[in-house]
Amino acid sequence: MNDSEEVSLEVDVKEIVNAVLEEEDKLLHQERPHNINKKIKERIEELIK
Amino acid sequence: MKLEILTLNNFRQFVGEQTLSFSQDKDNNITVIHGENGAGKTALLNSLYWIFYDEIYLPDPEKLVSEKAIAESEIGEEIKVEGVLKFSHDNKIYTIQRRKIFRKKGEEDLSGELVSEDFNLEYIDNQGKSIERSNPQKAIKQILPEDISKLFFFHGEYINELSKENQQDEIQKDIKIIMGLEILERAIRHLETVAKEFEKKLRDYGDEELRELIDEKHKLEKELEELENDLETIKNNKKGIEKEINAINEKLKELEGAKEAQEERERLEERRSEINESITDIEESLKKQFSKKGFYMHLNPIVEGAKEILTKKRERGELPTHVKKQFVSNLLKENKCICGRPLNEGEEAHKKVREWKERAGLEGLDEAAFELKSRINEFKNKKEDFFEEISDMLENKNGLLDERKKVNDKLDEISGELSKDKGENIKDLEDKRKRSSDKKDEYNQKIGIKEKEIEDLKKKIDKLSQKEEKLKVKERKAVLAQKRFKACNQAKNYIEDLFDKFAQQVREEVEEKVGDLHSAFLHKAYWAEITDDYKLKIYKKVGDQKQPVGMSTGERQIASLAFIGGLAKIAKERYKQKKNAIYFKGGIYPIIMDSPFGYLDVVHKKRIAEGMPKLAEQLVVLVTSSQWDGEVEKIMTTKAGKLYELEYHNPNEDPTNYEYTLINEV
Repeated sequence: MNDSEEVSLEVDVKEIVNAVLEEEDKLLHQERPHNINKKIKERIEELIK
Repeated sequence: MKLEILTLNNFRQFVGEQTLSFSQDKDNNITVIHGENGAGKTALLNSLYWIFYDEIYLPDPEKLVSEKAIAESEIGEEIKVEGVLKFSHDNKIYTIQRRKIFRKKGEEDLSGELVSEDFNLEYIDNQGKSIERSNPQKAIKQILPEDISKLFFFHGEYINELSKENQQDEIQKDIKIIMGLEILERAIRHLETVAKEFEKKLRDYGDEELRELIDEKHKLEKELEELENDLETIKNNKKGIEKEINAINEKLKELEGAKEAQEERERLEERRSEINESITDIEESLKKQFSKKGFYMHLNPIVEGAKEILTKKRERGELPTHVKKQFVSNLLKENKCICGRPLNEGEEAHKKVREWKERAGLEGLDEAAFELKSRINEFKNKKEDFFEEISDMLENKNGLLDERKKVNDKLDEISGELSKDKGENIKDLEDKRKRSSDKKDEYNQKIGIKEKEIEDLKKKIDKLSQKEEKLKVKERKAVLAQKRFKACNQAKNYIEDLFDKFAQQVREEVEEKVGDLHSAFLHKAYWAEITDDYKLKIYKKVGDQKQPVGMSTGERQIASLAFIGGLAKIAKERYKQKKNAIYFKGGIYPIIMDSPFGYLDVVHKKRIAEGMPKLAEQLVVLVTSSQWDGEVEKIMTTKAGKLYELEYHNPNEDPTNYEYTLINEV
């Protein structure tokens, strides 16, 4: 495989970044702790199917 | 956040119930608390840490209960230690309460046995209803994160440390905290974990080569983690040792026989830091100069070669070229020689003139030769300039190396003298200091080694990551896992870039605010900068050049106060603007200062006292009477909304033989 054959994500990285920061913000402002890694994983799975 | 009322009950030396009401007045926003050394100023500051976070930064932190209260109790009796703070935040009135119940175990027991503890936080809502927060510790972290509290509730030692040479980590951390950049840091960390999970799937669904590569990478990443943990431990140990050294320094300064020598040592150590920094700067400049102009050194053979070619050409009559090619071409084109004879093709005259064209100089050769000649001279000059610059730098470096040697010799001399001191106390302290200094050097070496190992390992991991990226995966599940893994890494890189961008922006903003405050505080024409690597530095102008200034303890204190004041100002502005909500929401925080005038001269005491009310919306100042004299008292009394005195009862003078402190409003 050469350099030009890179894996295409078919999604804008900014969308992923926003989803991650949204989860981080929720974590910061919720009283009940939630599993942030699980949430981020789910959001990425939703975006890249 | 605004502090309203603090009530302590049997906390440390504050026996019984003691109440302190903080000034709420906008124009008189300072609460002044007088207390002599040992009267409980730092304990009072610590009562806030205890209430908020169950932490105490005092000797014997486990001793919470007032000695007098427990001594006067019966065996088996329960004693309540409590701290209650009422404060307002985001238009709500909060009451935070921490309570611990101790039981006296025996006649000699002055610490008590913990029986129960209780912590709660409640607030009054818009309808005036009292609501208890279900997770008070988490709620407190949102209102006043512990790191921020350390920044705004500080004691003298912190102010002295902050602007020292090696405090860039602390400065960077403080800036990140106050600007809320840690949300980005957390996101980076979490994305790393999630990326690993996707990578595990990629490994499971991938082929043998990919599995081996990922296993190898994970092995190295584990090694890297261990190395980074080791490095962190060593750095923490070093910090611990530095604290020990600082504590010894302070003790030595208190001893009459060592005071002068210790002060001289601090001055020399400061100078040594400056020298080291200048040497590093010179070395950096040397590297830059060599990479930019180092080729001049190798130009000699080329220049000589070019000279030789030109000389030979001249000898052969090819230079200067008397006849231009274009000129001969025109004669041939017009079929007429300059002497008037016709030049017809095939005839002898035409042939002769055409030969001239071949012999005529190459196009532009003359110009090139002329240009080359002037360039050769230019190179020669540049080369000389380059050598001169390098030799200046080396001379400067050698001068600094010599000075450092002298400084080191003087430092050894001071240490030797203190070690020989007849006063046992000084000798012991100095010996302990020496051991600690050796240990610190040892840690510095270890840090260097670990950092190099980490750098090498990171390079190896990077190579494997690049290889992993290029490996073609066929399985559908593996393809999906690879995409998600890549998405995590790209998002992580994106946030890292975002972080760098914000950090830089924030650094510049902090620098501006700190600079303004610093100029207002300091009467000299110095200015403050926060360097790219987060050092708080003070400069002065010498001719056209800016020169770093070695700060005295008092000047360091001023620089630190300006730094903290600058951060408080930015936090307040951001909070009011409600900008960049996701990264930084800002906040209004009170500043509580223990002994802020410690090392200041009269002029600066006055300037700080004048500027202090503007540092934050609410200020609490804990001072000794010697720091509260003359100008300070005159200026600050007009701005103080509340005045308190810590009435200390010395065990030697008290019939009960237990120390205690009462908080009295003046």
